[in-house]
Amino acid sequence: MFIPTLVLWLLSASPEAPVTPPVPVEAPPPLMPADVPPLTEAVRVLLRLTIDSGGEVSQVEVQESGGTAFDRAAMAAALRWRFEPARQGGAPLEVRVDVPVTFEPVAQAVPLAAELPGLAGTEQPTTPPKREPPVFSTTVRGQSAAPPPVAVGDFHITVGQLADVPRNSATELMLLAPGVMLANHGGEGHAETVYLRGFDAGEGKDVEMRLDGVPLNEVSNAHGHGYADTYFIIPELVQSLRVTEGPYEPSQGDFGVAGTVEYQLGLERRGLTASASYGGFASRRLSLVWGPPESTAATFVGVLLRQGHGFGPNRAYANAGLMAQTELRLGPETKLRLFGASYGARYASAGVVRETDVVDARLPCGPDADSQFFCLYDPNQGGASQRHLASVELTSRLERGGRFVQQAFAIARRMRSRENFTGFLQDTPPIGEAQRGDNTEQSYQGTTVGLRGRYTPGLTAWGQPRPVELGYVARYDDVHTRARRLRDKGGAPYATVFDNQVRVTNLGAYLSLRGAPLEWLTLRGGARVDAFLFGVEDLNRPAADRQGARIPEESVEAYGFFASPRASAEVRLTPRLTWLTSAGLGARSSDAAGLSDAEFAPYARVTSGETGLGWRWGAGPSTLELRGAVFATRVSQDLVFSETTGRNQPIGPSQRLGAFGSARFQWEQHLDVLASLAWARATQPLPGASAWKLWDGAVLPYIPQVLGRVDASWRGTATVARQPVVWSVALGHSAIGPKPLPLNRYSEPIFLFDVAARARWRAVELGLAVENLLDARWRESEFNYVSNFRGPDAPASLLATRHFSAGAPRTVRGTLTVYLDLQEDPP
Amino acid sequence: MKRCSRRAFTWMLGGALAAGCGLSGTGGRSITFRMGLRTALAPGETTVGAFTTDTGWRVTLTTARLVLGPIYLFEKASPLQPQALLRRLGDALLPTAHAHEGDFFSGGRVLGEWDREVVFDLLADAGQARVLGRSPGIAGMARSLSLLLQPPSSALGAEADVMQGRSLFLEGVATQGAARVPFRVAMDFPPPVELQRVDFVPIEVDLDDEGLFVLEPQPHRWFTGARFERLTVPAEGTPVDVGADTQVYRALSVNVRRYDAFTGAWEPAA
Repeated sequence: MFIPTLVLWLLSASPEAPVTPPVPVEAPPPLMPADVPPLTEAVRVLLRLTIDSGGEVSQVEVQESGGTAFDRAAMAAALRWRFEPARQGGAPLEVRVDVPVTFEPVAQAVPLAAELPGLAGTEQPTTPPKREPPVFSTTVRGQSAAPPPVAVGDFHITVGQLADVPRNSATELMLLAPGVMLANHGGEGHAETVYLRGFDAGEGKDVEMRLDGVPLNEVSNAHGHGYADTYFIIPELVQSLRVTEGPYEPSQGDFGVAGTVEYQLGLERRGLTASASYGGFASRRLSLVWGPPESTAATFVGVLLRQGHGFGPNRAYANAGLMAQTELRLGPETKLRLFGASYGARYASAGVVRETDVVDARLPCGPDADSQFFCLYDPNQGGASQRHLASVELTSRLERGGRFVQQAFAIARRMRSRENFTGFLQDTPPIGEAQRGDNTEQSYQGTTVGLRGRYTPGLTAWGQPRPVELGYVARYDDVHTRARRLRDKGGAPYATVFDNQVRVTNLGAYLSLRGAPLEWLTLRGGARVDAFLFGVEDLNRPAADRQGARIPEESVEAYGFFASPRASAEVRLTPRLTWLTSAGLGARSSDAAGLSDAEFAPYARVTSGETGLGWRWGAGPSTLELRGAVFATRVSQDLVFSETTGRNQPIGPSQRLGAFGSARFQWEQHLDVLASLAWARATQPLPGASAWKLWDGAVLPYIPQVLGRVDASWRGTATVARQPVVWSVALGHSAIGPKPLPLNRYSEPIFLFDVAARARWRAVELGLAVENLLDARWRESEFNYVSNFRGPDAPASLLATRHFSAGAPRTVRGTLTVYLDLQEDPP
Repeated sequence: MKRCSRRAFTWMLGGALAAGCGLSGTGGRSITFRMGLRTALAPGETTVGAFTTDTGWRVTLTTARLVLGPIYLFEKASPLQPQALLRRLGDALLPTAHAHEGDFFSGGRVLGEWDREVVFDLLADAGQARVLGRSPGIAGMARSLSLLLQPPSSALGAEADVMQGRSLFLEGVATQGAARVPFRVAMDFPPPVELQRVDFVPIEVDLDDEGLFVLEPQPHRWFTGARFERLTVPAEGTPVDVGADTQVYRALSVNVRRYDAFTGAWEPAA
């Protein structure tokens, strides 16, 4: 293995005046090229970088080659490095530096001369350089230093080695952030319910989801306002996530109540990676990702096909997705990123079952406990989903390091979901007829188009380069959203719950400021304003009223506006220890379907604050980062799941108090461990209670109070039959504390272990993954409500009782992966 | 690994409790109680199924079977519950506004239920409670109940054979002086459900774990106002088949669905 060591010999820009050299801010090491054999000696590549006055690497040239593969890897990494610019007399200036990049075998790893002292350290060269005049040297080690967080709970998570941990979808990458739990009651293709920081964020109502700037929350989705399905994202193409827990970043927009999750795409490994898996329950997975060697990580193509019978009756699924992106350089100062994705899926769902029926073995499956646990009532449950997405992003570098980013996106979306939560309870049948069934079909189709952008002037003020950022978003949704009841027999629709054509325009803008009035104090602040125009065509009005016949349609238009200030203060207690306090307001817009004509649309307001500590240690490629904070949140209008409508319904204000801690340790490219523990208590405040009484009130059910998560991966090299074999083992562990249930009950705690092992010889890799290693019988979702699944003529139960959807049992999957470098041309 | 993890969680939760973080607060308390049936004795009587009606007829039932269920226990009081004179006066002066809550009965939350049908032989257990089984519930004061009377559904299976598809089957003798009327009546309570429901039955029971709630049919109330003398007894003395067009049938049909046709009692756990 190689140790990523970069030593920068920085040339002074002027022999006459004192020059402060550029200081690396973000310098992820290059990846070892895919198809090179294990190194027996170090390989050195000498790069010449042009670092502009904004601290960006504007040009990379190879001065001394180490071989095509290594040159390419070094260049790809260098293009992502970021620096505090060199300065002369305080003014930033462009400089050129020669940077040797060394790929070293593990056995010959040399002790490094010095660790990087923070982000501003420079040293005299320890080795006299060959070229003249070398004045400065800086050693950079380890993984990238993320941009400064706006809160302790603002996580820039590089997936990196933790991609080894078994995961079913890109959605599960969210588990890398503390305090996140996912649950799915609808099947493989139905969006996951996200629990974050004591919020039941539903399938997106309280968490803003973005994919490289493209919004994923769907307004007025029939299944729930803000529904965000991330199944279409190919996990192999997710380079990092930014999870901002709480509304603290001025750019956070609608739905950013519990926080914002942004998927950032990229493919580090160049060449072609083909992977085929087969496992339990006939699960098959075929992925193909390709990154042209001549391009950066921002250019890639990925295809993913998945299919399986599911882990129980009525759980089959099949889906296919494609994502492609190209980054074009339109000159030295401009980049154009073109991105497209297409996805289609269908799935069946077992839905929920009554606990009492499982215990009494009354479900229409085998009498044994397992058959009952995984059984179902209504086989007419499931859904389908299609999504087509395109995005164009133009990034222009301005003078003195300024930036101007413009993005346009368009989404075509269609989904249909059929769920039955109550059996035979909701229908009021015609006289003489039996209940027709409560299966509810929710459909949503339409398009979203939008623009977003940000402008960062190349100013230096208040001790900060680029202290100001202005951003905007313009989004237009034109969607048809409908819910209908389906007959138990045959599945024909017999009643329309709602049927709306919704058109929503959202215009938002934000201003973000940053300043360092004192050397140890950095202040950030800003505000975002959002305006909404809602237009609804209600297509489900009666054909007659008291005054006679009428057209069964009606139009509603409403306007809404909210402003959300945010601020944070960062105190650098020591070079490694930071105290960060943040506060902010966020908002969730109204579901257009619930508005009245000419109404000033209300919105749910979230007020959030947190304070905590962050500590970071780095020694070359090894880093340790610890974070911990306490937080409090209050929401003016919360929504909880209603089984009668199958979607979320308002319940009034709610509040949360919580704390979390997280740690990530990376040891070179051998070991990567990310662990977190989070606690949150969510309550519904007593009527009229003070906003400061965050403790009082009835505990909100279903939201786990304690969550623990460990992701770990260990990689190494071994020699088998005189052949070098690269191996890895990985572990994912979720610990979910007892979830509060109605009537002061608590669910059982859940402990899940997922493990994986891989071994690679040359271009071929074999892998084995086991999910739910201990084969725990766990309940993925739990509810407490009234239902009647006995039949249309059976007496109905009116007493709320526990229902659950079963979690997956132990699943074993084998994978064959082939890596093809496809490198032919010199870089 | 699992054991360690579980232990760590236990410690953590213990710490949370000690710190006052508390595993409490969603409200309410879940219980399990038993549901039973027992035929109420008429005032002053010692024999089940024997009573004197307000019209002076002495009735002795020889067969009495009923399909009933489900049974729901509500938290709110019945609007038909007898109230103190002062309260009634107050209600008359300042009447309470009632709005439909969306449920079929505005009894509020259901605290307990027996969600199945049962064929009950009113004379079989000689005044002893027949325990139907255990039922989930919510601890608290239940102030009214509701139940359904309906033809036996297929869910009852062979148990319903004895009912021959009827909801209520009564057989007995009514006597008044020298008059003797043997009778037999079978009733149906077909849909709609509004005509099957017995609503607003006042109760006052404090539901708690392992107690026994006993629903008591009061057959002596069912014959209020019944005029057996209007029935024509067959010459051979065989029982009169009480038809739907008779006064006795109509009285019975109304009375058996009145709020006072049933009552409930609570026996706390020993």
